Amino acid sequence: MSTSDYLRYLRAVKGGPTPQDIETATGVPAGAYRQIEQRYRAQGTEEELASLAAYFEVPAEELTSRVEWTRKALSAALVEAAEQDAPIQLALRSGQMVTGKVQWSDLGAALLQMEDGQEVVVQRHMVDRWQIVGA
Amino acid sequence: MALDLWQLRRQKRMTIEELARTAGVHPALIKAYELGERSIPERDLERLASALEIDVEEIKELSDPPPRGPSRPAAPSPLEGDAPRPRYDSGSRYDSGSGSRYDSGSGSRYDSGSGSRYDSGSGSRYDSGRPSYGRSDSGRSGYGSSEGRSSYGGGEAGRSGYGEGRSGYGGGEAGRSGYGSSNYGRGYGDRPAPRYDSERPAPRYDSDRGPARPPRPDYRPDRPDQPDRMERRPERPLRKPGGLKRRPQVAPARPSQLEHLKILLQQLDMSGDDLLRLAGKPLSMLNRREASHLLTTCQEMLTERKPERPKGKRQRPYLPESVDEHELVYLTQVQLDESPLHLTLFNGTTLEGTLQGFSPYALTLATNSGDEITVQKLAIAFYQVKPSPAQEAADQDGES
Repeated sequence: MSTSDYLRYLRAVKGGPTPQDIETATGVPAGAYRQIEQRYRAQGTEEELASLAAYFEVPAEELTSRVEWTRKALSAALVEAAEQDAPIQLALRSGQMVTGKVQWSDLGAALLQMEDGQEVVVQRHMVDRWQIVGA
Repeated sequence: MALDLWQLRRQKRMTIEELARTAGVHPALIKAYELGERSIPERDLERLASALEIDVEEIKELSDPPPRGPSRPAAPSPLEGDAPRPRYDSGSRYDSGSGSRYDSGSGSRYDSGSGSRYDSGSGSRYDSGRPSYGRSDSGRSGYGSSEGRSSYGGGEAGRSGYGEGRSGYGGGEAGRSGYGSSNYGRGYGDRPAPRYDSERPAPRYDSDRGPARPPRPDYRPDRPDQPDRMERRPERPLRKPGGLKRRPQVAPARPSQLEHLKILLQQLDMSGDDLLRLAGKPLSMLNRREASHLLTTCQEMLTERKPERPKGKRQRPYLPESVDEHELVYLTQVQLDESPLHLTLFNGTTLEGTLQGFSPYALTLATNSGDEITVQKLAIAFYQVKPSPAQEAADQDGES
């Protein structure tokens, strides 16, 4: 799960404060929170992420450790796995591991075909880490 | 005491062009004002007075034409010459009927009573009969000879004259000023006529060009809804002195252009020699226009090298975010098949039901108990389609 997705999740858990509310409460520059949450690339400085982590009452590492695992990076991995016809292992935030070959992937989800032939649609925002098997 | 515009202008030693430039009034208009062809409207009066640095009251609204210079020949009296004059041929109508006439009740006129006329009531012609500009057959001056009702000059015989006292365009049999019997031209007959006597040479339009066209009235009977043409014409901004601007030199190429060029040249595997051959000079010597041209050339070369993409759907291998239809297609099929869907949420909870509907952000399931539940995708970790028990049984029967 990218920092963006995790922040979106945290905001939903907190009751859905608006980005403006969060920026006012944390002192993050206007528009910065929206950038961090919506952009697909790495966004936000360490100070901003630290103040956001304090606002959402989570350890700062929860946000900073996800900075490099962006949506773009997951997209590239899914495309690479599909092109190589190699299985990809997805570690979900719920603690489960799903491994399979990518059938398709789009903005919100990816369909993996597991070894037993079953298909599973994984929501991308739930993916914490990933690895192409055999890579 | 008010003076003519040309007098005031000459007093200030200004040319018409200078006055026009200063006052913001078109030179042709100023010329018309000075010749007395047009009266000066209040707006222009103020501008001209300001340009001449005088009061508005000092300018006559309707100027007398300026005296002609000695170099110009004086107008010969129409009574003197038998020389052939250009004939106003028939064709278009200048006037019609007995309504609008250029006539004067008394004083000088451009026509003799029984002589020429510009038009007759029934015909479309400037002239009829035996036209002559000079002396007519009857010994009187006129533009033609006929018996017409609508005449440029007077209707009655024997009253025409070219230079007697006051002249006017208006009048008519009853001697009223105006275009015939109408009121539109009132005033043309009242104003002092240009003098053609010995005191002052006649204006050149009399001798050089034949009869002057009567001044255009502000109100045009044929176009009552339109203002005068001169009034309608928008004023053009006057060109500032100083001549033509020098064309600026083309600026050197932007750094971004050079960077872009370097990338393109790298993609084209082009060396410095190739670049010199292509551009004729090194990158650092390029100006902005040359760089732009070179960029276009390089991009075209790059396009030629790349294999053509298959037409149809746009391919974005690394931007699946731009495609949001795989899941839509998948869920549509699941909904149509009414296959049971198993959802696993972020906290490990599972839900099962048939898909009733979905959006980019939520799924609605009908559970086995008959309840409908909508789950936000944000809470879903993954979902699977599992065969229904009946389908599983059928599959097992098939296997056995």
